[in-house]
Amino acid sequence: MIKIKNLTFTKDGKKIINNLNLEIKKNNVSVIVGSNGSGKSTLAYLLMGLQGYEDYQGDIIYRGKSLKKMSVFKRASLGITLAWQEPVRFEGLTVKKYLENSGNKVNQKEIEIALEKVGLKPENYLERFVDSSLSGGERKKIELASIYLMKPKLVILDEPDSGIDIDSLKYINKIIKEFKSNGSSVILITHNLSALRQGDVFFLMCKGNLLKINSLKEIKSYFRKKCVNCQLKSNFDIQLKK
Amino acid sequence: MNDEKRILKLAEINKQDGSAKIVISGNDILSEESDDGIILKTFKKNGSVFVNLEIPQGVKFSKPIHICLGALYGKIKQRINFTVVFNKYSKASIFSHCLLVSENEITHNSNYKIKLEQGAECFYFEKHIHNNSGNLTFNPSIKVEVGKDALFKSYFELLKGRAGNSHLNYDLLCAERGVVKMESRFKTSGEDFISLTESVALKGKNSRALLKSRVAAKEKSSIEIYNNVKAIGDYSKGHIDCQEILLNKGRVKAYPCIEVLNPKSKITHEASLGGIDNKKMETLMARGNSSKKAEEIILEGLLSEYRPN
Repeated sequence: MIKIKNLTFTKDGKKIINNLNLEIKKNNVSVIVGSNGSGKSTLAYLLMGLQGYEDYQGDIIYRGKSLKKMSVFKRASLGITLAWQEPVRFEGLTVKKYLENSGNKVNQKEIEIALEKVGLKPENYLERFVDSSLSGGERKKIELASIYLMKPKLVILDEPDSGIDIDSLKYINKIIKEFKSNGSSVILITHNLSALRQGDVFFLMCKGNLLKINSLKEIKSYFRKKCVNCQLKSNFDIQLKK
Repeated sequence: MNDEKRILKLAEINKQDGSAKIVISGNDILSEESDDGIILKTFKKNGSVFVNLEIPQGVKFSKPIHICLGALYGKIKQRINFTVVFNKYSKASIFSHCLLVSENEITHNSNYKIKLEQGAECFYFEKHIHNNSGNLTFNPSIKVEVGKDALFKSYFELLKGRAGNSHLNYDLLCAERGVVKMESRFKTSGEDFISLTESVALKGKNSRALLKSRVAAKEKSSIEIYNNVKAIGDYSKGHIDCQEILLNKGRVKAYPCIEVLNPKSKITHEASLGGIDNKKMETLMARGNSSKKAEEIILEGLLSEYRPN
């Protein structure tokens, strides 16, 4: 579905992504783990083509077509979307209005279903504003609902589980499963073990390099042996120690 | 349709709405009515309209008082003077509908004097519908005395039609434990110009003020916002929250002037001036909205019409 070839990205003279190669297959959940600052979010922004992340070396090929110089809107029109680690606030914009503008023409019933999928009661949220009156976790769930409504082909989820309560994690895991069963591919950036279990393939990112790991077991073992003593500590690392 | 009906239709109110209603077209008083309790006097002097309104002590009105000001046809010079007194512990909402829709030259000058006595509560909502030619000058001046334990809450909205050349002046004085909450939302286009000046003196102990503005300047228009807050009384607190967006060749300026004359007082200020936040744009574009559509959605939210709680 998507092939990343020799991708290198430098910002302010610092190499953040270093000659990275990756292939994401259809109907797959690809999990990327790694310490803070290892380049995971940068990779997500490069895939989405955000401002400041358009100029890179190498290429990103999506369904046989290069994404180079392609705007965020065009990429989204092809079915690529991103859920940010920190979703933005939209003053004066209701949840209903926000979800109505999620790519496809959606009706009230579909919006309600999407909210239920992420564990939010529609009657309590539709008329609320997507602003600071909602917690970070609530805004994350609403962002996920908007992506669900978009029916994307490639979903990039940047730590969808951070700031989410334990009870709500099950909704996130369920929706990832549903993306997969609907034929979407998911790139999941996470530090969370329960989310990690959703993965079909695993990658470890360190200092802009990507290492393919064969199984969840192996990724745990790799972390214990190599990463625990490394200077780049992560939340994931701490969770694995437990 | 006569002028009164047209004004009420533009203001989206029915004849039976509200606890009192004053309908003015140009410098003519078309109708006035009030419920028992509201003291209302209107008269004309030297070509200007005078309206005196008084809310008796302890009386609380749940229905709003509607003031409808129309400038419907031809070249108009409108001069309005309002004096409003809220006696002790009274409470009422005033909805002022300014319908400056004549496509010819409109000049609107108004003076409002609002006095809130101890414990009184006033919600003042001013909604504007203007013409699309921008051929208008709008100069309201509002002086408010907020008494001890009184609350003055206002909401100004100009989202339909052109702003023309507008100068809005608010001057407020706040006594002990008095509270001021003001919010303004407007947009300009073409070569419109708006200046909004809000001056608040927090004179009383524990007095409070919040000034919030959300504005957008499109095309070649410009907006200037002057927020002057002075903290004088012990433990008085003020906050200014100003967001100005510019699009195309629009210009926005903010002049916050905060003065604290008492070490026990505090004033905070936050302002954001610039184009639309890129992350907001990219979030909406990543959901399949074009940049133009994303811009519309964000502005529609930021400049959304008033919704009663």
